[in-house]
Amino acid sequence: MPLGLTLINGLPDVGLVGVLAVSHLVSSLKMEEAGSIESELLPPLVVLHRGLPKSPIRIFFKESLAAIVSETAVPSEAVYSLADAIVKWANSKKAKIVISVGGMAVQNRQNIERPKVFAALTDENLIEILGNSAEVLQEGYMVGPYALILRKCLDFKISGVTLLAQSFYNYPDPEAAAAVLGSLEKITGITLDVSELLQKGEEIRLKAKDIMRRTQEEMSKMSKSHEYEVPPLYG
Amino acid sequence: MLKPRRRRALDIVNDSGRHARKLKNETFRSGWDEVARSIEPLSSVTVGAEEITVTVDLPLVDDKHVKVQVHGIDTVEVYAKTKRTVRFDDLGIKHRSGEFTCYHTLMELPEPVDGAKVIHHLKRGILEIRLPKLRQG
Repeated sequence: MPLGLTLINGLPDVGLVGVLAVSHLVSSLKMEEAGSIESELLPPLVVLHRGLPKSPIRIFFKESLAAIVSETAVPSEAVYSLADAIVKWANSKKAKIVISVGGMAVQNRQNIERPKVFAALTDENLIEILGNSAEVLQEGYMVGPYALILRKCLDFKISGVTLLAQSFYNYPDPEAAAAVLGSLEKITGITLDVSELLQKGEEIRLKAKDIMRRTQEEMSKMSKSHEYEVPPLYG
Repeated sequence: MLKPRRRRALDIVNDSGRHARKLKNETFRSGWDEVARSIEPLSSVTVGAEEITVTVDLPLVDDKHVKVQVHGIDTVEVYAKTKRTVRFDDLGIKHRSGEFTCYHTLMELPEPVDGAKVIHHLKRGILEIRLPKLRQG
């Protein structure tokens, strides 16, 4: 795998937006499997694909692009070590930028035709790269693996961006996944056809039902509802 | 001295039923009922000041095939027929054969509601049920 790569994370979170988006990215670009993340803190399981056992958290690559996607809910007790492992690995590969994609729960999601995308950044200079692809989050809390990945990126002085599309909280949201991929395209130049995500949205939601249920359990253990609160201090 | 309230036989039967459903849901997380050919959808309950809002994720369902019933003052039942028979095979599940033609769920509500004033609608595949809280006294 080349050095200086762009790493994109798709971990189970709000609306499974990250998992749906990065799975679509991996299959659309026909990215190759390059490795996996193993930990005793993860559930003792393998995912069978075409009859072969696979790790539930795998790394894919193509040229200078790498992607990490998880097919199992990340247990709350594994979040710290997972974030740590991802950023240390990105650092070892001299990653140019780490982009995590996910969802941001909004109560009126049913009434939103085109989900807006928001971004959290490690560095003000990244606003230029972001352009008009997403609106920068100015104040608020982030909870979960992406929050820690962003913090670890700061520690390692790696550029980190988290892209969050407005989404349902506990229902898989392929439309939000398509929206976040639209923003990713503007930042990275990776062009993707997201029509499958939209046309097969109902089947995708049905297929993702069980992982969504397990993810919701883990989100409540992480106090994900904290994200609705307003921080008391000024930056 | 306070006397312990004697539970009615119906309460005990209802509690046993709830416990059995909970146990079944914990054991078979997919919520598939082979006999009824139904599956339990994802759902959530939000308590507001005036009403309780229940949402249910119902992909592959048309509005006209949704039935919502309120039982008593604290239970809501949702039944929704899918547009087509869904086989596990269609979802990429090969090791287990089976299919379902509807969603079914029975939800206990955290507070009593007025079942006569329930309204519901389906949008973007999400069913929203609004149940006004029961005003007592």
